Amino acid sequence: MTATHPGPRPTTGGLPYGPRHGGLPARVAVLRWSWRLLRREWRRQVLLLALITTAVGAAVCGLAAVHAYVRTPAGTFGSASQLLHLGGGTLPSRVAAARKDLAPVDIVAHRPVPVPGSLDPLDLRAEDPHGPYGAGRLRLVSGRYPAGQGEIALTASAADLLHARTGGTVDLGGRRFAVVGRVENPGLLGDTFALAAPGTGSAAGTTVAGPAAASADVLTDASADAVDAFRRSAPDRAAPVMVQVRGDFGRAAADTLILALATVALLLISLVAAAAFAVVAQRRLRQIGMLGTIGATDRQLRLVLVGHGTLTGVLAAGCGAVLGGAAWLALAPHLESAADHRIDPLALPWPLLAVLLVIGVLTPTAAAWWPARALARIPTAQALSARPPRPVPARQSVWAAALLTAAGSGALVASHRTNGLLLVVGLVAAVLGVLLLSAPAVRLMAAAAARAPFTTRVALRDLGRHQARSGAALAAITLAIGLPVAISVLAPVNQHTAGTGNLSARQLMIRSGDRDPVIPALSAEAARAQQAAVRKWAAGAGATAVPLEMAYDPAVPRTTAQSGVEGQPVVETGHRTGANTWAGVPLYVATPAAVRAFGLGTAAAAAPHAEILTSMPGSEQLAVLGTEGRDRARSASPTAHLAGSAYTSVPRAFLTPGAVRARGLRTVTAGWLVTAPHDLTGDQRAAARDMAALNGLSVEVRDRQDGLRTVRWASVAAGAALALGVLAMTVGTLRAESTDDLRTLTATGATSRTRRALTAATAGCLALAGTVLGTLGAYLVLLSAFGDDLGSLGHVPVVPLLMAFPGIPLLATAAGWLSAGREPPGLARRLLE
Amino acid sequence: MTAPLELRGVSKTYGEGPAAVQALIGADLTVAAGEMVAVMGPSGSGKSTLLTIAGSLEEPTGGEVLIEGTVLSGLSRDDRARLRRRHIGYVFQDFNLLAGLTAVENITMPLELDGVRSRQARRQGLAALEELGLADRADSFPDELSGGQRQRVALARALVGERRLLLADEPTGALDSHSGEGVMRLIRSACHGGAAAVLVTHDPQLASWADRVVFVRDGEIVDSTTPLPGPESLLTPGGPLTGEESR
Repeated sequence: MTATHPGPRPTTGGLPYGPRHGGLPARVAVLRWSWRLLRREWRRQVLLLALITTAVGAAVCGLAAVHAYVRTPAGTFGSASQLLHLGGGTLPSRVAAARKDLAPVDIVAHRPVPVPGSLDPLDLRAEDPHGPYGAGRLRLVSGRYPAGQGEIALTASAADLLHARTGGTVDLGGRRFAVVGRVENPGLLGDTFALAAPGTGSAAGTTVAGPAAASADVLTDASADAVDAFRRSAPDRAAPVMVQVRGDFGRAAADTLILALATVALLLISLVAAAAFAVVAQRRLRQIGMLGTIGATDRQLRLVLVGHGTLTGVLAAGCGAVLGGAAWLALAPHLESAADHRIDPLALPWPLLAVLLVIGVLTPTAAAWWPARALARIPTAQALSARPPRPVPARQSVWAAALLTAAGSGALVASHRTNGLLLVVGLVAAVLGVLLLSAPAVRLMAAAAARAPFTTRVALRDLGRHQARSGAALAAITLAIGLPVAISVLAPVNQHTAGTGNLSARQLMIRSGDRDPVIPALSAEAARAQQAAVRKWAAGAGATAVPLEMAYDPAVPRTTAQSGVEGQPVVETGHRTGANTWAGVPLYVATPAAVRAFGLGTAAAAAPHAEILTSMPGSEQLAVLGTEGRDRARSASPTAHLAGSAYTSVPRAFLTPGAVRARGLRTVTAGWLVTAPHDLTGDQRAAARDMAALNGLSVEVRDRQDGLRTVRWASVAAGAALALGVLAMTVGTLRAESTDDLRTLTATGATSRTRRALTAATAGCLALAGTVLGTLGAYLVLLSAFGDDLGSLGHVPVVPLLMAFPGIPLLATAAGWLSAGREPPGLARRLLE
Repeated sequence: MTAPLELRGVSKTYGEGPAAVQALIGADLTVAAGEMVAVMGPSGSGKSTLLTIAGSLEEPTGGEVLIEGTVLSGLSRDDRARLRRRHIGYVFQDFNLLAGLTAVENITMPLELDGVRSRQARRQGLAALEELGLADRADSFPDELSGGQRQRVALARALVGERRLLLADEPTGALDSHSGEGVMRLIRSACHGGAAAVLVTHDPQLASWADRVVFVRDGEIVDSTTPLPGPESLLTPGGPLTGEESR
């Protein structure tokens, strides 16, 4: 009964062997076996599959949502790369020059027209709907585009404002128009305007439905040099050309952030997966021995488990992609109003999604690699007998852990939470340091076992014997606990302090005009009326209103803001982002009231010569912008750093009174920060909006921050689930490897109570150590990062901390007690052997 | 002609110091092509160690093992694996079929590990099953087969390809006498086809199928005999199981 081997064989080292590792047929055969085993044992893999599927699904949906949520430049630029805002009395000649110098261009002419019963004028704009760049910022919803001077199309919000409908007429600016259609800016749904037909001939771009335009936007793809030359050639200094360069509004950064978060989450899950694969490896030891006897090489043996990991990853990533995709398709329509632009559900960052899925596959593959390597190294004869290898002692050094922790903490302290490089380096080093403490912690527990009760002693010594595995599990639990603890501590920081850059639920910002760096030109009487209205409303709400002042250069002439409001441009601060472009934020004046409200005293005293006080990153490059002496002013100004985030809801950059005087600037009240003793109610917020609308102000409030609360509780729940999952797998593996000990104990009279106590003690001790290390690690990182602002950490998240400690150790102990107790199978047979 | 298996002064010690156990001491054994050798001895005598060392699953502490004239001590783990794949077949008491693979896939696995394409390997596997009368169970999984059928599949896997050395550890230990006899008949038939077989057993009746019986005690090969045809030969006066040593 012999069958002949087909074909001649190449020889290797004198032996007539086949390809070194069997080539593709061998890989296919091994993967086929892996797949069959995965199918047979799918119930045992459900937890891991569900975990990876959920993570990939959430990441796919999250990436799609964040990508779609971030505003697109199309709403402002259409498909053009630059936008020039022209205004002033020389508009016709400038439009003509733009047509000549920057061709091809799309001209959008604006004329604000008053609306009866409203303080805000309506933007009546003339634009060629079929222009070369306008497609992304103009869309016909119904009806048709206006064709003659007596026709307009309205956005939905403009139609509501004017109580008009398609087919009717409306009076605007003293003229009657026929409403012929409904339009929208698909990239900016909040853009409220009436669209008129573009002028013809010399009127194109300079008139709007007959009368002259107040300003015009020029959309162009011309080079930066051409645009700069055009800007410099402006004859009218009273109407400077404002240039905006197309950016991605942070979409790429947001995409990358989500991808990074998903990668970190999947790496965390890979720790769980590694524990799961170690269990699989233990269960398959005998089968692997069999494969070894029939001639599988180490690489082929490894491939059994690595293939299992890859197939698990493919399955989970596929299911996750479908799940996440379905969730995104359901979510997308509901996101449009929040995102303020139309969303194409299929306009997704496909390459990043592909990367995400690849990471989803690679994560379990990588997690399976180490158990696979250990599995392949077990001698075949030993594997055949299904005896696990002797535990390998862990070699992590306490010194390395201490060094990394200290270095990480130092870097975090030095980062002041604004130096990105130090922050990342410090975070990684500190986390690694804390994780490296896991194995020494296990050794310490084992050493302390001598005086413990019998079952605890055995449990702790088992942990010590298997310290490589229990140390890795403890590291995973530490991370799973540490992250939610850190999030729980940080969430209140973001909820309650205006000084760190966020409005709390007790606060709101009231601004004069819109958010443009142009303060509306008001008479003294109108300004007093605004101030009186704000104070009255604040008093009604029991709140205090701190006036916020901005500075302007009296030599800089008034201009028309993009919103159409004429006013005084205020000075800003910022740094260069390109040859002709600057990224700026408004500068508030550090008045005594502002110093008290925002806690600027320490920073101002520490840097008496500073002109700018700010929490913006890259402070050393900041300049004062918007003054007459531009060239001089654009050199970097002395800057003092403020603690706090770079979030922009509240003032985060201040000009010192000394700088105001030295530069000959003047100040104007630009807004108020209102703080109430309690969270503002919905009625109070509505009243604030009504007051603002009546007085030409704008209001900014934070939502109720349910999102932060949700993140906090979700992170606590996810961390607890992850920690318990790791525990279940680790305790299962350890107890499986100690089955013989358990048999001996049972044979010598140990009852189910002893067996339960043993498993409960193993789970409880590991959970306790993980919780303590995780909590201490989280606080160490936070205390280092917030070393200059410890008050921010004053709020202790009692309930999440109680859930972690003693909640998780108790839960683990109870679960261990309940799940153990059965008599080991094959007791008599194994003992007789 | 090169012997499929040759052991020269092979020793094996487990553990170190006072805990050291000498499992095999200076074992010499040569198995010629077409020869069936039974290894007998009490529990713990070193029979299974001899088999695992002969099959390159363990390395000896001393001496040399030659498979088809190739000295194992110079080979890497992967080279030894390839040697097993091509030259050595194992049969165990508890069948040791790979769960999740059908009967024919179990048989073809060594061929596929050696780079034979799936379709060609399947042809050979089916031919082997045909010879064993199991063609209709080719696509059955191990847990759908009876004990005798499983052991026949294991035997087919051990012999598929060009393998000329069959190592069997109590191959009929888990079978009833009828199935056990069928399996022994197949091993005997393989030896007639040119394969060499080493059989570890406690069962004198099983050993009676062998051309030669080797006795191991306390790690040493203490005796070697050529039994008379038939199982009753072991019980005849002067036979090895009557307490009288024969040379």
